[in-house]
Amino acid sequence: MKPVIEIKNLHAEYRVGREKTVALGGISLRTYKGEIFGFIGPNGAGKTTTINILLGFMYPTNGNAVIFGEKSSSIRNRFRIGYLPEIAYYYPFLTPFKILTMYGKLFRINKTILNNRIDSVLATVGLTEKKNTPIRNLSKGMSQRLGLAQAIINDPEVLILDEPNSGLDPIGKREMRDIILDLKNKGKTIFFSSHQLSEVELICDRVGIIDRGQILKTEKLDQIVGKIDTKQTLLEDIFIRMIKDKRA
Amino acid sequence: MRAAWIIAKNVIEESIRKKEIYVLFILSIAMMSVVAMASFFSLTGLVKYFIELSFLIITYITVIIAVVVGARQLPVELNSRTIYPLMAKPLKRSEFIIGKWLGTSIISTFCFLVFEGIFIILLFSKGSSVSGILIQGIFLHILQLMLISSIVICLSAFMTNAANVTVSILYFILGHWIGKAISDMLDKCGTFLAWILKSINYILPHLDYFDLSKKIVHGWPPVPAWVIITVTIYAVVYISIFLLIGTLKFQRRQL
Ligand SMILES: Nc1ncnc2c1ncn2[C@@H]1O[C@H](COP(=O)(O)OP(=O)(O)O)[C@@H](O)[C@H]1O
Ligand SMILES: [Mg+2]
Repeated sequence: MKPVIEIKNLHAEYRVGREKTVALGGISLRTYKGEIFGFIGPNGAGKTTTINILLGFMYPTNGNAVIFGEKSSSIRNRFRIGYLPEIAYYYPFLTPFKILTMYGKLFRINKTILNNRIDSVLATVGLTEKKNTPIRNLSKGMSQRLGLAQAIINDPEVLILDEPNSGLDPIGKREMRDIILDLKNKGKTIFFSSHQLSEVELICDRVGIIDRGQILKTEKLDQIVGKIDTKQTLLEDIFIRMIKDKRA
Repeated sequence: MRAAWIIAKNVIEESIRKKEIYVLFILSIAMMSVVAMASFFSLTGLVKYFIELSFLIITYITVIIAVVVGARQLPVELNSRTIYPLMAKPLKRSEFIIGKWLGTSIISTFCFLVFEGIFIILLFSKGSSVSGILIQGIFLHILQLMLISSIVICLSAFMTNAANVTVSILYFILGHWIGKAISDMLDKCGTFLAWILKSINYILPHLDYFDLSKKIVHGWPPVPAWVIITVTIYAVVYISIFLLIGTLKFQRRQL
């Protein structure tokens, strides 16, 4: 099967003044159609860097990232991708309705279809009541929901979500999980990053574990989980042990 | 180009929600009213003074609006991280730059036309009328606002908001009021530095081409059409160059 996302030998570095940080030391991974891929690793592992390269915000020093068989960040691909940034703020002077209209128009969605789509994505993320509230008056959790709404406004085939759970309370996490599962059921391919391996990550079909710019392991979640009996409590421990072993 | 227009509308929406434009609006209308009243009470040369000072005020204020609005666009998008969800959409970096320029040009032109409207009403109230050269002057200043917007948007890919505002305003003042004096001075001294400065002066657009204020004040007849056409082409060429440089720089930039 042809992968939807294919990352090959990706190298990336940051330069701040004279200092150079190697953020990615040659990572490779693949994500297939219809699967939920969890990109898991501690803070500073290189997850956001990888995603930023996928979207064309950053340029790799070596290697390449491909989506649907072409340069991952091509304009054509962007019509088919939904992206939730790790931290994003949305124009505070707009309302959810206005910002979704603006983004929807960039996707060239026809006006009547767009209006229906806006109502439906706002309902999905539970922001219907805030449709016309200035974004500056939304809480942090609501902003995160708006982030998800804008990520699905174009009914994308691939979702790239950078730490979708960060900043969400337990109920929010549960809702996020349900939304992601629902998207999977609609045949979407989902690539999301997380710095923890807890209950929510159980929905992944496969996980890639990244630490210090290197992929430690890519495997089916049940292969990791299968090694222990009581799932949830120990997952986090396995994750930590795996990283510690490699670092040692 | 539809994407650029969407970005331009966002610039306009942002400016409407911010207060600074209203402050500049009130300030300039207040200044024009003072000038209008002052020349009302004096006896001679009154209309001339009114026209001259009003034009000066309107020119400066609208250039400041273009610079302030244009310079903050890219830095604010970056600092507030609104650029990330935006650039993940099917939007080329060139369309982003063009859209920001278009929005800045429209905002400053709109303010300019409102000021001119008030100015013309005051002019009528003094028994004067709208001359052909005034219409040409208005047209050339709109071109100038578009050109300055392109310079500011281009510079925003290279420098911070504050540096950009400083450089752009300085460039406007130098280009307009002492550019001629400087180039005459440089002609007289033949050093290498003078030669470099002269070359820079030669390469950069000459803003005084867009200034008809003296002719308007002294009631000249309209300038020939070919002059207006040439200056228009001149502006279009420079605007394209600045937007191209800005786009190339922004394309290379990692977000
Ligand atoms: N803008 C930046 N400037 C310099 N270094 C950075 C920058 N962003 C990230 N890094 C460094 O790159 C590495 C990977 O960071 P990142 O991809 O953000 O990790 P993650 O998303 O997994 O937490 C870290 O060492 C981090 O310190
Ligand atoms: Mg991150």
